[in-house]
Amino acid sequence: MTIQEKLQIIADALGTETTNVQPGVLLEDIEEWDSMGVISVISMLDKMFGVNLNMNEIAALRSVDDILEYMKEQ
Amino acid sequence: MTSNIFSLKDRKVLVTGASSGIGATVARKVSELGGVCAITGRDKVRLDDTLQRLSGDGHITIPGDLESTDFQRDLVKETVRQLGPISGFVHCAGIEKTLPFRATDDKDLANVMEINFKSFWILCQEILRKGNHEASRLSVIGISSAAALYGTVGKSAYASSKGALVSLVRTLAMEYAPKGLRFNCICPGYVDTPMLEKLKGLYPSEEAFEETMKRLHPLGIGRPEDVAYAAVFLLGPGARWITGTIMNVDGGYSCQ
Repeated sequence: MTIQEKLQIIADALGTETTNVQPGVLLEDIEEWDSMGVISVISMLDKMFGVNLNMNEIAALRSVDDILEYMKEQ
Repeated sequence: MTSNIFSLKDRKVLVTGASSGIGATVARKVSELGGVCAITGRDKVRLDDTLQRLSGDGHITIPGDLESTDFQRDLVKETVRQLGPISGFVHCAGIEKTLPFRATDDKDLANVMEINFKSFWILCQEILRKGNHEASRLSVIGISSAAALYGTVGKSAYASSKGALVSLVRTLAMEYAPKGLRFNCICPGYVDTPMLEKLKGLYPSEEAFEETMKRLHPLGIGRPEDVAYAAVFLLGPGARWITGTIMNVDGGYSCQ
């Protein structure tokens, strides 16, 4: 899976454009990164990458890169 | 008679979701009022723990996964085999799913519907077969949710499943009233259970969670007992003339 494909998946989860979801972008700067957006991304990581984040890991998410880190193909 | 309106003496009550939370508490209150329980849940260890906490004798556990249609059918068969015809059924089993609508796929929906709604459907069908229930005395209660009646962000699948429960209960109440069989729903607000603990994690802080709960419930957050008391009332002789009711047990959630 290419990085572009991963960015597209994150954008789909957040319900936003890929242009808003790029490496280096802070999550707090993405309008759709609200409570529902967070839940969508957590759900996406679980369903597609088998990653179950605990509360501390969720709270530590700061940037798009942090999400990409969890998107390792199994 | 007045002093016995809550008595469940000699009533055989099937309780799903009895491993913890509302289900475990309903079973405990049923037993305290003289009923005999068949309790079911996925977690055998916790189910045994619930069993230890029941009053009186004769209660049974039937551990299993309500996602399996075979288990749903076997559950009623086994209950009747061990206890005799069923006089009460409280469907507390349920899973909560908070997810934006766009992210809720058909698998999420199927999973929630299977446990929250379809298992109730199948269990009711099995219980209503001749010989599986006590004629004129059967009382069935579906534990629905305030989410079934009031819009809540992120609850599309959950609220739909609980709404379906409400609709089915109303239909069955009409269909079986001529036989004296009763069907009711309880719609709780947020109750302090393991399910709520999971929800807590979705709030930015403990304070934000507490604040939201306080705002939603003028009487404060509910305890499993609050729901269980309503359930045992609806099971018993005091509710003889009550069917098709959707009872809000929600600390005032629905009056705002």
